[in-house]
Amino acid sequence: MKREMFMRFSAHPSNVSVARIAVATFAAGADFTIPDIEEIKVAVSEAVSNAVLHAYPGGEGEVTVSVTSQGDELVIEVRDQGCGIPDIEKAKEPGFTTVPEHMGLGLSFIESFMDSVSLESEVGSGTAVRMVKKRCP
Amino acid sequence: MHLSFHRNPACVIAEVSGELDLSTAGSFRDRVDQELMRTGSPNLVLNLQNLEFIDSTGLGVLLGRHRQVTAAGGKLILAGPPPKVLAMIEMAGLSSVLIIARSQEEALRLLGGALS
Repeated sequence: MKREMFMRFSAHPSNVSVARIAVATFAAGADFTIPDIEEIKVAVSEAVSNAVLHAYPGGEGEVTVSVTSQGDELVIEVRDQGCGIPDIEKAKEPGFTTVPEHMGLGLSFIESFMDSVSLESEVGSGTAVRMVKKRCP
Repeated sequence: MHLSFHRNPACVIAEVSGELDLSTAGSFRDRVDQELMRTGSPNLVLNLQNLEFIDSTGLGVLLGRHRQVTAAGGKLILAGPPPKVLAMIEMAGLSSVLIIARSQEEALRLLGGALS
């Protein structure tokens, strides 16, 4: 059975935990294990934090999170309509960050915890991170 | 995120519980820095026993406190991180940078040894 959830919220730090908890609750309903849910929480936290931190420099904007569960897969897409990433390869480098006291490990953590990740971005139009987690049989 | 402070002759002890992420990291950083400045203590023990969640933003603020404390000649010891928090610290490569104790008591012993 296919299940879907969609959230749209302002790009504010307080909404990072809201998104994380909502997706974790959805994943629990799709019979993912607690260790898998912990990994999904980190991945969502990293993706939404990146959108909140980087998408709308000096302004306000929205972030959307869509989640689909079908078969043994959970597909999560975090999308913004912000400034976009000028150099995706640079952004993917572990340790690369433009924010003081941040580690630049967000995408590395996502790649470690999810089964597949794709990142699409267009300068001036926004960024989308698509993450897939497969349920263990 | 809940944060409380206790004073010890050798250090400031900060107990943090709940979640350390983008929504709480700034408040955590500001309050810890203010407490270190207010007390003048060079050393900091962060009791993580009841920390339920941390991501890379939370790890960044821990590393930032480590850098700040060591630059002032003190030591930061992380005490009692739960397994999932410890796993994140290790994944980030911070277990070779930060001093980690199994408990607050062990952290204080380590600090006492370092000070004597």
